[in-house]
Order: sequence, then structure tokens, then C-alpha cells
Amino acid sequence: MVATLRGDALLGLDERGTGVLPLEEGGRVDFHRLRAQRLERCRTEMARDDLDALLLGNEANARYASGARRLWLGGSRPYVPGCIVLPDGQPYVMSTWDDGIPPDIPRTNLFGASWNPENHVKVLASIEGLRAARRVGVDGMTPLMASLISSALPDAELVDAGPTMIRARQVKTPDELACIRAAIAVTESSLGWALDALRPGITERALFGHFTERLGALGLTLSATQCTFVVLSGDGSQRRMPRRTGTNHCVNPGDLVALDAGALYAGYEGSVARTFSCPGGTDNARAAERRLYDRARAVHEALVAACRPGVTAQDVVHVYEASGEPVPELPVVFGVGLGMEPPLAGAHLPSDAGGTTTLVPGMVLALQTYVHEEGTGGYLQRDVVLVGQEGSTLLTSHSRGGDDANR
Amino acid sequence: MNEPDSTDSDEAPLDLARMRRDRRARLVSEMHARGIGTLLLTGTSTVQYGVGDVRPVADASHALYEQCAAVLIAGDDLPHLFTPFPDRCPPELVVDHCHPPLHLATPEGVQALATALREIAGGPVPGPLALDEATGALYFELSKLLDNLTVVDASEALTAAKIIKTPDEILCIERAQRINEAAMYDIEAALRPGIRQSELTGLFLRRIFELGATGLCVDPIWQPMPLSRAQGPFTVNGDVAFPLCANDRMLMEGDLVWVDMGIDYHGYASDFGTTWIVARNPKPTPRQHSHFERWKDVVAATLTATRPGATGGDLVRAATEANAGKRPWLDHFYLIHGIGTFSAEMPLIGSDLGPAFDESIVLAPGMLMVLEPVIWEEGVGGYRFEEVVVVTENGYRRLSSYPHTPYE
Repeated sequence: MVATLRGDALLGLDERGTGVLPLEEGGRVDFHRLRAQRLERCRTEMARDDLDALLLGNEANARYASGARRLWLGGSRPYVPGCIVLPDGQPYVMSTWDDGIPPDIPRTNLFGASWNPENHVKVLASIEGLRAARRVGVDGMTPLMASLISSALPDAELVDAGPTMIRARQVKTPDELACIRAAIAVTESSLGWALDALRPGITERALFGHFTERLGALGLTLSATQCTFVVLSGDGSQRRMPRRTGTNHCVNPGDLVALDAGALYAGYEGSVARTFSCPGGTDNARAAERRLYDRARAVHEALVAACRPGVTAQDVVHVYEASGEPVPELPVVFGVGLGMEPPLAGAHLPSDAGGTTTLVPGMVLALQTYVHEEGTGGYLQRDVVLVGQEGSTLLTSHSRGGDDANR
Repeated sequence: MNEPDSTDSDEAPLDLARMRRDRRARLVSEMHARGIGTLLLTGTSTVQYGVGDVRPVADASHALYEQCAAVLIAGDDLPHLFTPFPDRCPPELVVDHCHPPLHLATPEGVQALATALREIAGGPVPGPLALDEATGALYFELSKLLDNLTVVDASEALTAAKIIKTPDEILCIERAQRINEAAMYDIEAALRPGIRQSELTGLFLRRIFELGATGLCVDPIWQPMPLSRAQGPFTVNGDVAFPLCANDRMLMEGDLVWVDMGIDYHGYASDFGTTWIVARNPKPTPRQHSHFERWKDVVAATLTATRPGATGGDLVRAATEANAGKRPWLDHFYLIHGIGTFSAEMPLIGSDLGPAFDESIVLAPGMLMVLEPVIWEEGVGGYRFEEVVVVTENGYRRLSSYPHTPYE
């Protein structure tokens, strides 16, 4: 239970505390202001890229621009322009109903989902402001959709709006930050519930089930990643990166178990990972957990200290390299907002994924540390920081396996 | 219940290696028939089909930035996999067909893909290149980097390969369905006035993961239905608004609740839909019961027409006739959809693709169909339940088996 209480300790960070219910004197998040500020940022970046319209198919981009709460689906979907942003007025949103649609968006701006791409594109052609657009940004494409859009908007030049939306989303507003804090609080609380269920004989998947049950009790339904609680073994295959998918294998006494999750609150992810040893292990197992904790803590503290305005995301990766620990084959730094987002930096990632991005106040970043001991096991830790004026503030607070302070 | 992930002696063995081999053969055959030189897959469900179940279930943002991609070049019957999850790479690819991940959201990442494609091809990349879905960077950059290689849409080839399921694929869907249904018995027992939608989701997820599921395909729906369209949310087509996302809403005494969800098992989706009544002692009214009776008539008529050689149009006519000439499904959906590595794939029957499209669908053994007729009576409510069947040599076999409680 200690771990859960520490997770809930995050509640004290905000003036009204962090919770998921609105309060009488006003909600913890002003969603009207949140939507207005996000849309304004989209428009600023559209103007910078000289775009007359955005046709957004990426669900996170569409949600950012419109605030539409649409059905969550696992995995990717082929590009379909489900949200249209023009320089003025409210966005047009693909939704057959107005449930989950912000009241600012008039019913006349809604259009139904279609199974027939030709019907879908007819909708585009009927939007007057879009017909006049000359430079149109898209955040995805399929060859079929490209030919249909070109026939519906023959005078439009299509360009990649991916970078436009990345710039719009990068710095968080205070309301976005409140959503991320709520998501982290719910993740950490649910993680604590799973930790209570960590005992020999439980399967990796069932352990994740305890996490999701607590999530539901707190009023939320979704975690951005599924079934991501795993035993990190000491064999060489996990030297540079942890296994990431839970199985039906039972956890044994002393096993090091990574609890890696991200509950979603209003679309925002609370991305946290911790590693704990399963109770019932030998003194050697507990000693190994402490050794790995100490190694991970040294890297983690260096990474947090490195996240200052003015440095690049790649500079933070260099700090990992300088720590003497091998850099894992995972993103060491990635943005957290409406799910996972740029800047991403680390092994295998090209510099334009985010390594060259300069950190500025208001960015929210996940920092990942992974250390491994041959024959013993691995230890994964992920925390979220808010980049401030001088340094960074840790938004995650859940206790860590091997930390003597929690024993 | 037995552990569904294991192969028990009393059930047909699931052979995942054979399933991957059979699917690859279908893709290779479609590439050959259409003259496709290179197939590039970047979508979650299509990579799952072409390569195997290679990544944990995650939302679209994680799928984009921790991307799996597959490349199949004409003449090679093994795909190349680019993955951040090498521990899940199928064994037949480990030696020389498994590569570090690509980042396809930016120009430098697409440049790396172009280089990798040339290396795999051992020279110029054979065209045309068929592509399933793309980021803006991938779509705008790739062709230029490959000497203006012709890029075509892969969806027709993929649909043709995927529409007939192999016996192993059918077994995966059957097991997904079994886990989904086993969990629902516990959820139905937990349904009581005052419980929240999110609590039902939490209990459901707890149970499916205990039973061996690997993830969720769709956020579960527990939607109290209005009595009339006017009482429900506004819809652009004037039909009943469904499905609406769950939240922390409490389900109250007397609510008529439509339930819908799908889970993931080895990359395959289940589909579960039913109608419940929230009450200490749930009991449908005679009018509500008549909706269920009509629903049964529609399904019976549709299944009577279900056999190899029948067209989607035949099924539309049978269902409509059994509902006194009115199409018994929601205007924004369909009478029937398929299921596989994607939770709503071909065949779509009764959708806005139109009657000619329905006629073009000819049923064949191995097609998976989810029948989801809806009976609606304005002012009273309605009944919805999903029946999962596979078309067989002689007709069909039912994969769903959940009872129609509290209606019978």
C-alpha cells in the first residue's frame, strides 16, 4: 500500500489537487479554454506554413484541433480526413452524432463516417472554405485517398502538415498540463493496485488486468498501451532493451517485473514505468533489485538534471551516454501529450524525429532508463518531467523498486 | 475454464507458423496476379496479417512512433520486418529478415527506408510499389527517393488475400470470441443499477487478461439507449446514435443497454454485441421481447440464405424481407461486416458502398461474417445482438454462443 499512497501524493501539486471529478467552484480543467487555445495554436502554425486548410486524419491531431471525444480504437488506421480546419470558424468533424462533440462546434460542421471513400470526399467538396483553399496540409495519405482528394479539390496543392501539428502541440497549456497530471495520478494509483497483486503465480497479463480494474473504478476506461507488464529476465536477449508484451507466463518469486502503462484522461497520457521484484525472492534477488535501482537512479537523476531550456533532446541522450551505462534501444526522450509525440530521441531514431529539437519551457517529456544485469534481470523506469524556466519538474512520483525508503 | 492460450488435446491445434505461411502464400499470390513488384505495409492490422502478431496492442500514437513495417518483394516469399519489438519477430524471419525499426514520420526516416528497400531488392526497387497507409512524410518523399517509382494502393490486394480465412485464422477468432464471451458472464453478473460504465470496462479488462487476451480492439460500449431518436443525441443521418463512448456514467434502473466490444488474441479480433436491461431482476416488457423475436427472425432468414455462391445482395434481401421490407440495421453501419486482424473488414454488406457492391460479394467457405441487425421501434427502443459465423461448404457454422439473456 505504501506505493499507492506515494502515487496519490501527486494530488498535492495542483492548487485544487488532482482528481477526475469537477468541483463546485469550477472544474480542475477549463476545457473550453483548453480547446480555444489549442485551436489558436493550430491556426498560428498553419499561418506560419502558409496553409489555407488542414485535413487531419491522425486521431491525436484531430482531437487537438477539435476536442472531439471519439471512439478509441487500437492500432493505426489508414488516413481519412476526419477533421478539417480552416483559417476561420470552428473545425469540421467526422462524427455521425453530437455526443462527445464540444458545444462550440455547430451541428452543421459534423459529417458522418462513411465506408465509401467516394462519399467521404464528396463531403470535402461541399465545404465552401475548403474549395477555395490552395495550399492544403495533410497528416497522412493513402494512394487511393490522394487521387480522390485531388479530384475533389483539383486546384489544391497537398503538403505534409505533420511538422505543422508537431509545432502546435509541443508546448503545453496549463489546462493540458492539468490533464496530464490527472492521467499520471490515475496511472500511478492503478499501478499501485497492480503492485499489491504482484505475487508468485500471477500471470503477466492478469497483473495488467488488476491495473485496468482500478482504472475503471477511478472512472476512466483506457490505457494507451495494453498488456505491457512483463518479467525482465537476465538473459542476453534483454541486454539492450526490455521485452514489451505481457504473456500468460506466471511470475516467480524474486522475478523483476516491469509495470509499464499510460492511462488516458481526456486523451492525455500519464506515461509511467516502474520495476519491482516479485515478493518471496531470496536475499540475493532483493540485493540485485537494489543494485539495479541504484544504477537506474544515477542515470535517471542525470537525465532529469539535463532537461533544461536551451539544450536539445539529443543533448539529453548524450548525458545518458556519458553516464557509462549502455544506451537502451528505446526512445530515451519522447514527448507526452495526446499520447506519444515528438520530440523523440535515442537509438535508431533519426535526428529529425526530435533529437535536434531545442527544449523550451512548457514541454512535457518522458525519460526512459533501462539497465540490465546478465543472469539477474532488467530494470525499466520511465518518468515524466515538465520543462520549466530553469530546469525540469518531475510530474511522476510513484515509488521505485529497490528504493530502501519504501521498504 | 482451460487456459485458451494453450493447445489442449480436446481441441483443434492452432499452428501459428502454418497460419503465417498460409497468409504469406495468399499475399504472394495476390501480388503476382496484380503485377505488384513491392508490397510495403505500415498499418497495424496489415503488418499483423503479412508477418504475424508482432507488437503489443497500443493506440494510434504509439503505433505511429513505435512503428512496425513490413516489406515483401516479388520473388521472395518471406517479408522483411522492421520492428522495435524484436522479441516478437517470427522465428522464420530472425536470421536475415528482421531489422531495427524505421521512423516513417519524418524525411530522414523515409530516406532510411528507401536505402533499406534498395538493399533488400539488391538494386532498383521493383515497381509498382503497393502501399497500405502512410504518414505525410512517407507519402510525399518515398517515390521521389526511388526514381519516381509508381506507388499504388494496396487495399484491393490486401482485401482479396484477407477475405477468406485459413483454418488457423478461424481458430484464433474463435478463441478471441470465447475469451470475450467467458468474461461477459462475469460482467453480466456484475451489472446492477448504479454501476458505472467505466467500472464494467475495468472488470471486463481484468477478466479478459486473466483469460489470456492480449489487448483491446475497441473501448467497450455500454450505452443506455433512448426510447426515441428525438431523446437521443442529434445525428447527421437521423438514425439512432450508436455506439457512444463510455465514461463514468452510472447505469440506472430500467436502462436498456446496448453492449459492444472486441478483444485481441494473437492479432485477431472478437466481436461481441448484446442488449441488456439494468435492474435487480431484469425482465423485458412484451414490446421489448417482440423486438428480440423480430431480431431472431431476421437472423434466421439471413442465415438460411448463407451458403457458398450466395451474394451479399441475397443476404440484404433476406434480412429486409424478414423485417417487413425495412432494412433492419443502422443507416451508418451495415447488416454484416467481416472480422480478422481488423475489427471491421471485408465483406461489408449493406453499407454505403451500395447495392452493386453488395452484389459483387460472393460468399465462399472461410469467410467470416458478423451479423449485426438492429430492430428499432420509435418510442419504445430496440434490440441489437451480434452473431459471428463462418461460411462453410454446406452453409455456415456459428462461432458466437452467448445466450440472449435476459430475453430468453
